Amino acid sequence: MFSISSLKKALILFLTCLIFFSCKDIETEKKIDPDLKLRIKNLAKTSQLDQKLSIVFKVNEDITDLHRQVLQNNKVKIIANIGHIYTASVPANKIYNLAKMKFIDYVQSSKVKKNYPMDSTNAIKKM
Amino acid sequence: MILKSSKTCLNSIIIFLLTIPSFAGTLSQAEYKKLDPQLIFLINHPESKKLYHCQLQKNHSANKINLISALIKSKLTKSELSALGVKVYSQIGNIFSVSIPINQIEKLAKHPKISYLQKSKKHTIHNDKSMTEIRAPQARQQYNVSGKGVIIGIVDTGINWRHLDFRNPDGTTRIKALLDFSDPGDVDGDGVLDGADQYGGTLYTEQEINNALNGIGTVNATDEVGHGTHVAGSAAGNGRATGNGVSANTFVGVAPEADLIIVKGTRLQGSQNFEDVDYINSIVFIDSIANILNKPYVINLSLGSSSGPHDGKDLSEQAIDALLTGPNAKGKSIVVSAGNEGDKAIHASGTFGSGTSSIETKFDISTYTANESNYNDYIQFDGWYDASYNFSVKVISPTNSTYGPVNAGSERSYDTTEGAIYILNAKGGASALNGDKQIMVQIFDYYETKTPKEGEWKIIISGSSGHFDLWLAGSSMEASLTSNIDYSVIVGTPGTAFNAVTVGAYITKSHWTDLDGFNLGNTSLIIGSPSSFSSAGPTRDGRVKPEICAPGEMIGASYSSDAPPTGSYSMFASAYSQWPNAYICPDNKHALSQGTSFSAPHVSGAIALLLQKKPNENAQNIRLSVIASAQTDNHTGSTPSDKWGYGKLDVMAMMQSVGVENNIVESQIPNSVQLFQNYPNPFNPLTTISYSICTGQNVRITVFNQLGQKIRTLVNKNQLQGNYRVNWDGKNNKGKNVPSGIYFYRLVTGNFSQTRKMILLQ
Repeated sequence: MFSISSLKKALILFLTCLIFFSCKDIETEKKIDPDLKLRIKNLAKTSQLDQKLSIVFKVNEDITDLHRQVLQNNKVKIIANIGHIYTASVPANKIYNLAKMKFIDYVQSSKVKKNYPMDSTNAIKKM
Repeated sequence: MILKSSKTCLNSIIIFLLTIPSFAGTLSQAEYKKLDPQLIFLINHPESKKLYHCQLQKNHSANKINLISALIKSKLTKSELSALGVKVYSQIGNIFSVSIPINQIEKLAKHPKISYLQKSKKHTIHNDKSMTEIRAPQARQQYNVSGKGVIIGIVDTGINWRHLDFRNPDGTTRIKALLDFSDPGDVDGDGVLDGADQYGGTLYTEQEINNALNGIGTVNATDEVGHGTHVAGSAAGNGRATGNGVSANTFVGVAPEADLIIVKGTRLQGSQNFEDVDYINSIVFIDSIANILNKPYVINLSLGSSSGPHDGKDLSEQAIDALLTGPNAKGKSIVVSAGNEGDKAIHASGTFGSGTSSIETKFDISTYTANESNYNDYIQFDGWYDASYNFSVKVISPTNSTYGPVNAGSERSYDTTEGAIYILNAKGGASALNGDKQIMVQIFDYYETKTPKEGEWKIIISGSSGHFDLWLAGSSMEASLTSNIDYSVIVGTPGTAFNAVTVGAYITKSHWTDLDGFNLGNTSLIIGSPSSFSSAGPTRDGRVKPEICAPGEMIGASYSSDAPPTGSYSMFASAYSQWPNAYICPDNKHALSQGTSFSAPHVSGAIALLLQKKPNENAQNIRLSVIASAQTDNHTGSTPSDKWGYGKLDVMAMMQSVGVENNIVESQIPNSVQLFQNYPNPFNPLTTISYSICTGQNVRITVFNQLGQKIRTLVNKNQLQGNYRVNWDGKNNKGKNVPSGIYFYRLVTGNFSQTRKMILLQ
């Protein structure tokens, strides 16, 4: 039914695709903050991947209307930007899609910062 | 005691003033009218310098007070006044802010083109020590600045908007806009703020705040913590609020006439937690309002965390740098607290090689009460190492169970009875964030019943060569490192942003009187020394952070009435039942607090003063001005250093650095050739070289590298007698950046030649 040469071609194509997609996955992994990955993983375990997460992401080119459309299709809601750094909310199950986009450099979870007052328990004395 | 001596001084002045006409000496009646009586008093009674000294309450010897600050109304030019021995600091119309030798006052009064001389008066009492320490009152007076026309943006826990410290003399608000992210907050719990404003908060305009002050409408924003109000007070409070007989203006912030834009950046009432996205959005909001108002601004961020790569590459830091870089960065600055982890065991580091192939970092989880449900009891570590190495990571639990090793490029999860353990080691390779490899270890309660086990844990990192840094990035329970502790490289994120001005803290006050009249103190605080809690640098990539230290212990500033000591969220709660109001000042309108949260606003206020003089100054030059003007003393030792950065904040010196690009410096005419040390030094990207020429002739200033090769000619022309400054931007004659290193600059004029050394850090 199949000639050896066509089988060879199919095999080469399969291997090429495998390598290509593996590389793509590796590239995507590098573009996602580990903390964000862990959050997604934990949400997946409780079937809550539709939960929105606050994120910060960096793009490598100016965002056009076309980009915005693509982001919107992936339910990425942009809130603000400073240069190429954007703040947004996005469902957890769309973050890998976002990271795969060529114009995305990095996606980071919104981490918590705290004020820097010292507590008032210093050893004080009556003078 | 001080009050008594002040009264004595005042009585003496009154007695002397009553006798002025009989002492008016050689001056005619018309000339006499041109003088402020206090100046006549000085002319006729040289011994009264002591009284002047007494009024100033300075420690200088009275004999050294030969110059006095004054205002002159005159039709003379600056240079004509200079020729009369007057040092001119600034001019508005025909009014000059000057200093005058006391023995020249009569001569000036006789000058037909001088219509009045007035001794510079002290308009406010600045009892809070931090302000006099950083010479803010002197800078305001001498340079006629108050922050007017400049916006200070505060991203914090809110503000007590009714507080008189933030209102104009006519009772209207100084707040141009107030954005509250906690109203309504994330109501449906979907991770997104639900307010009507475009950022998800509730926005109040200046008009709405003024209406509310007049009983029309409401402004629901509050500050139940008191942190934001206190920060705003140090930066910009005008000291109008007072009570219980305490004088107004006792607690004046650095820039008392600056405008304010306030963002309550927490999502919950009473919280002190800020999401990255929210504070970035806050910065965008402040930037947009400032643009509309067409005013320069400085934003104060008294917040941070120990997560992130500590190299300025966290995306929130890249956002800050994006705002502060490029042609649109004029009239903008961001100030960040260094952090309060200086004496905490949160950082470990290690270097492999020379027989070391495995480094153990121990940490201890203290006894704790687990939270209800899962995913809320955790401890997390972030680590980073260079991409050219491959390390492996394993975790050993208190029961000596080993998890891992996890090799570079992979991740593993373990579901154990000691908690779920997640170890990631550069999954996918070097991070796209900064090109380095990242380690993350998290132990958490995947199941409510399997919480992180109490006791001693170990993280073991192995490699053949290379260096790693590991931070305790966060935990829900008490935990700290117990071995391999490194107290450097602690400055938090976003404090490691390249162009932010990051601020540490030092001690300026050790005792105080509280609301109930108790004289309290902390005898362990040594005035002038660094705060033990102030986080040390440098950054992981070796840059000097913090840039500077400012007062940060027992700082007196505006007190939010929404945050009484008994309040659930108040930062003024006292641990001492016998002194329930230990941190509330006698006027009940100001309070004391400590932390780098409160040193940062001193610098924000100082930058507001600088921006009043130079509204188009760019962020990088502002940062350099802060660095260049930092003061050193016995406590700082030589700088830069991990703890102090470049030294202590000095607002006077910072204001003196304004106008660096002016080619000629207006001051006394020099009588010798001099080449001064460049500043800042070390520098990046710009430094200033000052020099004096005593006779008009050809002047050459040339930069050489260590091989003696000529790099750049900065000056080669005839110049008149005077004081000059020239900048070097670290470029050679072809306009290309030269590498980091030691360079020499040489001044040659006539028979004079002098060479000095400078250090460029690219």
